[in-house]
Amino acid sequence: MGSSGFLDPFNWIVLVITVVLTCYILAMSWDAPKSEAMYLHGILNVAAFAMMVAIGISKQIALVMKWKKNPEKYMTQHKQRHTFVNALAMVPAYAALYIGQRARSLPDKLSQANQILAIALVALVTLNFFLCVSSLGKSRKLSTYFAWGTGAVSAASTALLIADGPPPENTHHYLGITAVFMYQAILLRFFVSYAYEEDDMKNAKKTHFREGKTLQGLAWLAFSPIAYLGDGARMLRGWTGVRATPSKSKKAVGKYLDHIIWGFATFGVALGAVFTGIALYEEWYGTEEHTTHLFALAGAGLGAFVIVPLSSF
Amino acid sequence: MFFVALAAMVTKGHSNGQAISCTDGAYTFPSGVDSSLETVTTTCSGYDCTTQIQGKDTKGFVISTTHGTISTTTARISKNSNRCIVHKNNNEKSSIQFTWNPGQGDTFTSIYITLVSGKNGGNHKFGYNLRRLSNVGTVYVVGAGPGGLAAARWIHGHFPDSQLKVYERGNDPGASWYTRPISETSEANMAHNVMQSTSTDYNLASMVGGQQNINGAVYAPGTPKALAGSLGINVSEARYLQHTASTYVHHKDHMMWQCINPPDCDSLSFASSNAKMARRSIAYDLPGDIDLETGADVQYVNDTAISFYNDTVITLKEKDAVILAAGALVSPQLLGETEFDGWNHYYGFKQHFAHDDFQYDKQTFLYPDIEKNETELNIGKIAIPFQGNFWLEINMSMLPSIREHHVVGGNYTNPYPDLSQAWHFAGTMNHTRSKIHNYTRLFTGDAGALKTPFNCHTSLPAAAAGILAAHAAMGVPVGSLDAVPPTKAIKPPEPTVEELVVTYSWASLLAIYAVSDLNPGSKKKAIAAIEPIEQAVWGRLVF
Repeated sequence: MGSSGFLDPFNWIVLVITVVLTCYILAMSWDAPKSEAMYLHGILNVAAFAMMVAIGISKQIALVMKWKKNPEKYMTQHKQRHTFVNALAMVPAYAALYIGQRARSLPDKLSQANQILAIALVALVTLNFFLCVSSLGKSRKLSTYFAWGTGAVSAASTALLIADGPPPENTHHYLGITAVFMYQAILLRFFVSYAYEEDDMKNAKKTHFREGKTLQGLAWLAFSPIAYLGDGARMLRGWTGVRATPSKSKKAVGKYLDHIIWGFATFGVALGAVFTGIALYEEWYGTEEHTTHLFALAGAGLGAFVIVPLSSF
Repeated sequence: MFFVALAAMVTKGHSNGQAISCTDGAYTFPSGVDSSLETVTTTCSGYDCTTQIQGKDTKGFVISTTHGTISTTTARISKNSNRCIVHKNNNEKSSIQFTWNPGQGDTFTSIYITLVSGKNGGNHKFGYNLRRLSNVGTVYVVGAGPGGLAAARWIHGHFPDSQLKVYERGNDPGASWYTRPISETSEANMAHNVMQSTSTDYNLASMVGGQQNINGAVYAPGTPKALAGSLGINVSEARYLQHTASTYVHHKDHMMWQCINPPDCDSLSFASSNAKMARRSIAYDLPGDIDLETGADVQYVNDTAISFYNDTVITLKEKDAVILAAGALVSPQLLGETEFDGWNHYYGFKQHFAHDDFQYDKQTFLYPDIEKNETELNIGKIAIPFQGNFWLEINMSMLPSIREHHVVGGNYTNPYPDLSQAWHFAGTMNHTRSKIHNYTRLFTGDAGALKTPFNCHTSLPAAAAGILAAHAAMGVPVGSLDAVPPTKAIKPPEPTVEELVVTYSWASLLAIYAVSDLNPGSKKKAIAAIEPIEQAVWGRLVF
């Protein structure tokens, strides 16, 4: 596992587009009527899951096929083309949840705790990003603490956003909540992993998040908040008393079966939420024009599974 | 746009029409046309019509019908199995008389007429005209509320030669009803107890315009899907009905009113205390040639006759039809029913001297329940004598589960006593696509036709039901006579350009990653050579 750069020019462009578009859509939703806010919620969800996650998974499939016998090359591109885009999907996904819950709560407002957590999360993600791309983050415990804190705030904010709004009432809501927590589990694993590598707390690589055993790994992903709290405690103790849990598999490519299974499952549930959401939009508002555009964008995103492998060889 | 469509249908002009190809269901135009159009007028009596160019003789013509056949005594060539006639020579003709001959089962036709007066510099000078004829007898509309007037407007607009008669129990309030402040017409004239009851809840307005002429002037037709489900039609049909109804009444910002002295307007105050806006309704600016009889108090209607309280009886002929649009509570009584069930909406309200969250400059409507669309919040200002101005927040419950039971002569019972009933009486008629069960020529065209409650104010859904009834009575498929209208839903409108941009901008991510890993060694894929990804050094990821 190296610390190869992930912000190549393509990722820089994608990062800028994603952040700018998300912020712009968030601004558009601020004073929008509920129906329009829900359309914007739909755009962001489609963008996050049917576009970005679809790209990330399709890239990963292409990478496994292309670099199976070149683990070093594989790892570099894996981070650049899979991890980066799937982690970046957090930006529109979180904004979608925020806009959706805000619209559902109208005319009431979201609680102040939600607003504070949202601002804290944005600030922490931004801080982590700058620590990560700058030399400041190297070999410093501080960056690890920030990373862990960001994951914790992300989980708390997501949970509170869901708890604060009206209760779920239909398939779209249940699938959406399931998808967002499954995605959150992967995010926690991401946040606990990415900063430790160059820190002096090498044992972090051996926490349960890095397991790789299929069934146990899935279990730890399902109970990721507990594991995350455990890692937090271990981190504060300077990672003392950590049991080594080496992976069964020594191969670099396709190693983490738990992650692969969990990722595909998350993707499937998220697509279910996206398409039931689009159908609901038409049912509630009786208009086909908006849903046609959402279906078109989702269709384009899923087209990645054809376009990306074809363009990768 | 229209002329682009015309251009697509152009055919060659000829001194006789032998070589002309008639276009079914559309105009046929000569090639090489002059830019200025002639004015063509067509008058019809029954199935016999006369058409001519204003102030000029006609040399050539193409007249085609969508249903039945066309005949004429003028020298002509018949085409398309007699559905089209064209000139046999280019002699000057002052007018052309023709007759529509409906086929078996034809209830209506659209006749497309093109007349040519001659040439100007090699280009044909021509004009065109569309005439629709009905094979239905007289259509009687009982009740001149929003449903009845919408039905009458639609029939009159599409079949101006048809026989149409509207009966209204009350009077015409006159033109001043629409020029005076709406506060003076709000809840005025609610003195007609429609259930012959002592309950004042049954007191409604009886006048041309109906309850829509005295209500809060809220324009809320509901969604096409909700209307479709309530009327038992499809969403496209509902969208057409809503669009058509919307063209019959001026509305802006969810309200049916107009400023009396702009720019001194008041879009915030409720109708009951608003002195700066004047009422608009479907009755406003009604075409003067619609045959509307006021003071006509219908007592009973069946498949054979319309009976009035003054003992007048109109015997219905074979092709006649009747649209019952006397209101959801009166229409069932016209069929002899003395007990029936129906829907209503219910509301509560809050008053505030001041409210930090209310920063509105016009009446505002919020729909907090996006799952069931059950609730409407209507926020505005209201003046109460001797107390001053208040913010008023009306919370309307639109999806009741309990139907009201109405008995002629009985008292009104509110199934939700904690709330006030909203005079949104509806859903009292049994019908299929407007045709009333157990009758062959009676159609329901008011809020009584709404089988299920939904989030709306009932005057516009009643108008939609009236237009549906007009289609059914005239034997016309819904929406078949007009171009498909654009989507017209209160929420949401069509996506804006801004929304489309932020939607499809996301597709750029796919485009970027599609080219990101192209083989830089290939000339065709040189774009990937911007910077080899192995050289990038920013950031670290270990996941």
